[in-house]
Amino acid sequence: MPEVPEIVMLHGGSAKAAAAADARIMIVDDNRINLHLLTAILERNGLSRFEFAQDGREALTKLAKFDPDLILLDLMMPDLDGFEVCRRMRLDPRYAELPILVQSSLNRPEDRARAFAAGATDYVSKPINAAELMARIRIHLQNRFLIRRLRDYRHHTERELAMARQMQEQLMPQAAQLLSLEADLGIRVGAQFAPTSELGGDSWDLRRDGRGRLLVWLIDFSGHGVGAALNVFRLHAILKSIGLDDFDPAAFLETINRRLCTLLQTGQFATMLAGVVDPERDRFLYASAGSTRPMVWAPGATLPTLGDSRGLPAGIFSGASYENRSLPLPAGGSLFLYSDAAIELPVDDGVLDDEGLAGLVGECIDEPDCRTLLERVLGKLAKLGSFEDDLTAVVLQRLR
Amino acid sequence: MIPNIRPSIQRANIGADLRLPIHDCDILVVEDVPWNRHLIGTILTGAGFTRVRYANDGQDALDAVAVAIPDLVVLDIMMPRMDGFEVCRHLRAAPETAELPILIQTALTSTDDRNQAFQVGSTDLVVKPLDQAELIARVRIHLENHVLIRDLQLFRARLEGELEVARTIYQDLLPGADLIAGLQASHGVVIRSQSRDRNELGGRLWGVKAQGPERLSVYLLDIPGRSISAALNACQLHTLIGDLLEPSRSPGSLLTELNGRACRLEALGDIAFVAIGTIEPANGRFTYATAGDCRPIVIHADHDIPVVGETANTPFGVVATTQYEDHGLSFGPGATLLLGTPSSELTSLLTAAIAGVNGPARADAVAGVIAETCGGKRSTIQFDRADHRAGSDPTADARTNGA
Repeated sequence: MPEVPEIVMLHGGSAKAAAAADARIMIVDDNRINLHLLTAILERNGLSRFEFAQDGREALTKLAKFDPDLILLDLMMPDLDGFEVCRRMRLDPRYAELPILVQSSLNRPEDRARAFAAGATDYVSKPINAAELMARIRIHLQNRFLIRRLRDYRHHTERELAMARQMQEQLMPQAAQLLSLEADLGIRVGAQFAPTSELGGDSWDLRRDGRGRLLVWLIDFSGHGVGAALNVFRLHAILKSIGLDDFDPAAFLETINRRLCTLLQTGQFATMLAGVVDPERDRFLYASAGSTRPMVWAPGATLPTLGDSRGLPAGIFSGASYENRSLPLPAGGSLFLYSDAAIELPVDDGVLDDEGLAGLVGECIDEPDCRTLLERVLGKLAKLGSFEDDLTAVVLQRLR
Repeated sequence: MIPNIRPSIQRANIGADLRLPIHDCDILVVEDVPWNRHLIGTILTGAGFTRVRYANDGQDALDAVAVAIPDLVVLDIMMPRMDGFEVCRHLRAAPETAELPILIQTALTSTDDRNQAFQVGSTDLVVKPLDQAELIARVRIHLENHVLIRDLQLFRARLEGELEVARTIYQDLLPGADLIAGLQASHGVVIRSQSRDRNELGGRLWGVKAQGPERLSVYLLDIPGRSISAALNACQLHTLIGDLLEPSRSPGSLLTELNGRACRLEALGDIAFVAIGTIEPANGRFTYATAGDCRPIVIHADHDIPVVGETANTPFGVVATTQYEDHGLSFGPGATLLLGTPSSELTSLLTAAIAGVNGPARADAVAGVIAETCGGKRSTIQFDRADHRAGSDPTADARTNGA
């Protein structure tokens, strides 16, 4: 019987070693002496949770109940050999990634190749070199436990993010609301909300003011991800409580700006556009805190008109004042708002820019339904590259 | 020279089906014999690997790794200048290559040599003459693991980065040490916040604000649930409370208004515990309104039994028209006030903790029992009347002020 050495600590921390110690090992061999020898080596090296099988069929039967972390598998066995055990296990998603360490007295290259082709993870030849066997087992177990931990983290975090993402989507107008708006006001709305991460620093909303007019705002917080989303939720709480009886865009932005100055940390800010559709004057009245330039077009136009959007981003200087501006928005006309991710896509020798985006909109401007138009514009944008920041885009169309 | 390769019966099948995207992994082949180098390269490129680099000896290999860390190294042992064992040791000693898959290929077949290869940190070992199918199978297995682990680690790194930013924003909502020290000086109240997971996102927030020289507004929010969504909701409520904290508003009317506004927030789904109160040290009063199991607890200087306050039966954030009432507790010199959730479990623990402990030590005993038993699960804010601490004889103090 060969000498059984103590386990060699490979690279890797003690946490890994601890995880490996309660690993569950299934040993499959038709030779009792081999079973004892392998068990002795493993026990000597701190492993203690074993299951045994003396042929392939028994191994497959015991798999589900024992749920091993690694299998030591002999090849030549009665009643289902090791090759077949490998193949069958790899067909089962539960065991597709389970480390299978083949230990065999077959040592021709063809046998080894066949074992790998059948799905073996590793192969050692008999007589067993205990140190090498343990080194290999340890490497496979470390990988398995590391992958399991990382997967658990990912699974857990993704579930949390999915729930938070759902909450964030609820802050924005829902499909049913858009439909009733179209029926009530004759204004059709298409929208896209696509954060780069699961959560984002963009938001938009629609409201009615005390005079029944439709208000729209689009906001883009600095940064992205969970942190930016925290700020979106804080602002949402304010926006929900704010009075909107006789909406004045500039005064509204001044209020929001003052609040954001007390809420945001130094270095954080938000760009925002807030406006109101005024059907009596056929205009879109708005104010901008450093937002992108709004676009409008009337039926039959070949290019959208870009509005002025100069203004200090909100959350920087509490005394900032904002200017009311307006753009023509006659019956049948459309309004397009978007976050800056849409104009920061790379083109030949720079970024797309608002003029470039207006050109893309121009290519789809004959599209009668604004929702389809938005889809087509987004399709064109997607061809230019992937967005580096959260993308939000809203299009409003006056049907009457 | 005899080619170090044998044809394999499974050649056609192996490498044809690469499940994970590992074709474009960067593989460094370290081998001093040109023919062997060429051979290994041919096997790998023939199997579909598109990025294979070469190094002629150990030193060359370390230089190549310094330029860019490969995804896998195929490493010979016997080489001039620096052998493969030494390369392995170097790579394992550096954190950025500690987990890099290293596949040693060697003509050395003694048990000692094999063991040494693993001792210096090799991931795997194949013996020359190389079998093409086995080499490809092993390279593929290690690369698949490597790519999988790398993707999972990238996800974790991205999220940890995002959460770190979110934590700083979240922490910024909590009262800072300066504010707390200032209130102790101006209002004579020592404030301690007990929460073991201070650096985690979650649904727990609290705040304190001076309302003139005589009064302190205090509040505590606790939204159970998963950390990110709970934090998003707590941020909303925190913002609303910030809007509503005015000197003229009583805790009950504030909580009533807060509840009305919270009911209008679409996303607020979880049940929230809220405590809002006004401390008036000069009058020895604490006026409060609460929703959920966060009854305030007052420990008086001269009593061994904590006094537990009231809470509303109506849950928070469910019915917009719910009215919350003001309640009162006396908060005399030497008293300690606790706001925490869930408060029901705290009382018996506190009773045991303060038995026989008097004077300034009592507040510390309370802080101790909270830190010990409740830290990780909940958030508790402790307010101690600082004026007690001036008195040298707690019983005399209690008698004087109790009159």
